[in-house]
Amino acid sequence: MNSIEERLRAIIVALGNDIPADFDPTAHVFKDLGIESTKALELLFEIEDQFEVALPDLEYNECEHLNDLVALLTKLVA
Amino acid sequence: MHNLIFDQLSQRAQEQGERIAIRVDDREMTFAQADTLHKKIASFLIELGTMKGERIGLVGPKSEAFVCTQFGTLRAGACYVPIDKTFPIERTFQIVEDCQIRTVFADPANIERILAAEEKPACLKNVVAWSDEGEYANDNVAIHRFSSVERYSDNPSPAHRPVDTDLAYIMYTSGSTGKPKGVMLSNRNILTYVEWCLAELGLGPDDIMVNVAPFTFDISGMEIFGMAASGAQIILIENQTRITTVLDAAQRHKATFMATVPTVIGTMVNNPRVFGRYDLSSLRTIISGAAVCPPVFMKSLHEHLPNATLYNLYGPTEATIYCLYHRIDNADSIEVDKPLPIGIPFENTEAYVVTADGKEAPRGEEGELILRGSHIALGYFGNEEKTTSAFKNFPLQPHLNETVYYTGDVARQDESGVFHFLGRNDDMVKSRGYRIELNEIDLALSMLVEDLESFAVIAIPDELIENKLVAVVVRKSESEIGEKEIKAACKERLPAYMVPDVVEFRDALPQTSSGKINKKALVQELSR
Repeated sequence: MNSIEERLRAIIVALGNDIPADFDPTAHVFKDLGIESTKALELLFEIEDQFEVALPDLEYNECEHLNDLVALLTKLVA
Repeated sequence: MHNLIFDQLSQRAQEQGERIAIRVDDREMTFAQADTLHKKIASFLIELGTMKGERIGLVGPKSEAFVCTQFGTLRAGACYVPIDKTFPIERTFQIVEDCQIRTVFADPANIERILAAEEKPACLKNVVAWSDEGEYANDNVAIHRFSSVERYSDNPSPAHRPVDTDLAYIMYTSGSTGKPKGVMLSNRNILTYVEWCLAELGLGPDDIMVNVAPFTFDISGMEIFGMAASGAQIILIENQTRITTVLDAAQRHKATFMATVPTVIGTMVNNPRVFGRYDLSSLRTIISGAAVCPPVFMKSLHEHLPNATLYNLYGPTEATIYCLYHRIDNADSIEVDKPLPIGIPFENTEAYVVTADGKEAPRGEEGELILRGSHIALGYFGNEEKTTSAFKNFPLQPHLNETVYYTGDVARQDESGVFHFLGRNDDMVKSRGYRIELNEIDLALSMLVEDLESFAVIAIPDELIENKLVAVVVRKSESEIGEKEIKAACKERLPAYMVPDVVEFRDALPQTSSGKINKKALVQELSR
C-alpha cells in the first residue's frame, strides 16, 4: 500500500498542470506548484474521499505544502 | 461640512463603540478601538510632515492596522495607495515613483526588498514597518514602527481635514501602454458609493461581511467602507490564498454578506458538496461582480442558497467600485442561455449608451457605455493623456461642461431600461475579475529578446475565470527556454494574475494579409 505521502503526492500531481511526481515537499501547493487557489476545494474533497476522513477546516487551511498535509493526515488516520 | 467616511467610522464608535468592527483570524477590534487608532495614525502622519493630498503607500497583509491606516490617511487629508505585497519590486517602485510616495507602510518581506534595492525612488523617505520584528537600518530611508503610533494624539489637527472633492485613494489598474494606471478616487466618490450600499443592500450593524477581495482590488471597498457607513462587522483573512479559508470564515462567523467574483461562485457551484460541508445559510446577500457571471452560476447558487438575495454588479474602478446593479428577485426565472444583465444605474448615478457620433443610442441598439455622476473618478494620476481620452465632456449636454467616463464597454439598453454588457471595444480583457491589458504582458515577454523570435498573448474564453491568458511563442533556434522559465520571467515583472496560464510553442505564428500576427486565428485554434 502506498504511503500517505505517495498518495497525497499523486492527488496533487493529478490536480495540477505538469507537476513532476517528485516535486519538493516544501513547495507551497498553491503559490509554487501553480495550483489555482480555487482548486483548494477539489483538493480537500479528493483527500477526504481517498483517505475517508473529514479534514478539520482550520488545520487544512493552515497547510501550505505537502509536508503539512502529510503531518495532518498522519494525525487523522492514526 | 460633509460627513466623510472616516467621520462615519467615528459616529459608529459613538453609537456602538463596543461592537466588533473588524475581525482578523482570532483577533478582534471594536469600533471604539478602530476610531481611536485611525485618529492616532492621522496624527502620526501629520507629524511626519504629510501634506494634504500626499500619497501614502500601503503594502502588506490584510489586517485591522491596514484598514485603520486607510481611514487615518483620509483623516490626515492624504490619499492612500494600496500596493500588492506580492508585486515584483520593480512594479512597486513604479507606483511609488509615479505617485511620488514619500511614506510607505510595509511588511517585513517588502521592507527588506525596498532596503536591499540598489536604486530606490528618490522620493521615498519613510518606511513604516507594520510589525515590530526585524532590525533595519538605511541611510536614505527613515524606518518607523507602526506600534509607535500608539503614542500619538487621538485628536488630530482638523487643519488637515479634507473636503469631499479631495483625493482619497488611488487604485492601480493594468495599462495598455505597459504601464499601470492610477485611478484617482475622491472622498465624494466613496460617499456616493456607500449611499447606495446602505439604501439598496440594507447594510446594518447586524451584518457580518466576509471580505474576499484583496485590498488592492477596489471591490474590497464594499466591506471597508460598508463597515464604517453601516456599523457592520467585517471578517478579514490575513493569509487568504484559497477559497476554503473564505468558506470556513463565512461559516464560522455566520456571515450575512459576501461580495465576490464569478470565479469563486463558479468554483462553489461546480463543487456542490460545498453546500453540504459548509453551512452558508446565514448569507442573506451574495454579490457577484468585477466580471461577467455566467447565469448558470447564479441559478445554481440560488438553488443551494434560496434565502440569499443575489446581485450581479457592474462597475469600472473609474466609477468607484460598482455603479449598475441587477438584483435577481426571482432566480427561478434565470434563463441560462442568456447573459445576465448588468442592470440599472445606482439611484445616485447615471448611465448612457452612446454612438460613435456622440448621440444617445436608441433602446436596443449598441454603443459605448458612458457613466455620469458623483461617482466618477477624478482621472488617472499623472497621466493627462489617458485622462482626457477616457474622461470627456458629456456629449448629450455639452453646454454643461460636465465630465463623464467613457468605459470602453460596448452595451445596449433594452426597452425596459435595463443595460446589457456586450463586450469591449479594445484589447482589455478580464481574468479572475482582474482587468488586464494584454500589452502589459507583451512588454514582459519582449524582455526575453535573446530567447523569443516572436510571440502573441491572447485571451481564450473560460467559463470559470472568464479568460485564460495564453502566450504563443516562437523560440529562437538556439534557445531552449521552456514554459517554466517564460512564466518565471513574467513573474518578475507582472502581478501573479497577469502571468500567462499557458505557454504554447510554435515554429511560426499565423499572419494576416497585412503581415501582422493573426491573433484571431490563434484564438480560434486554441478555443477548440
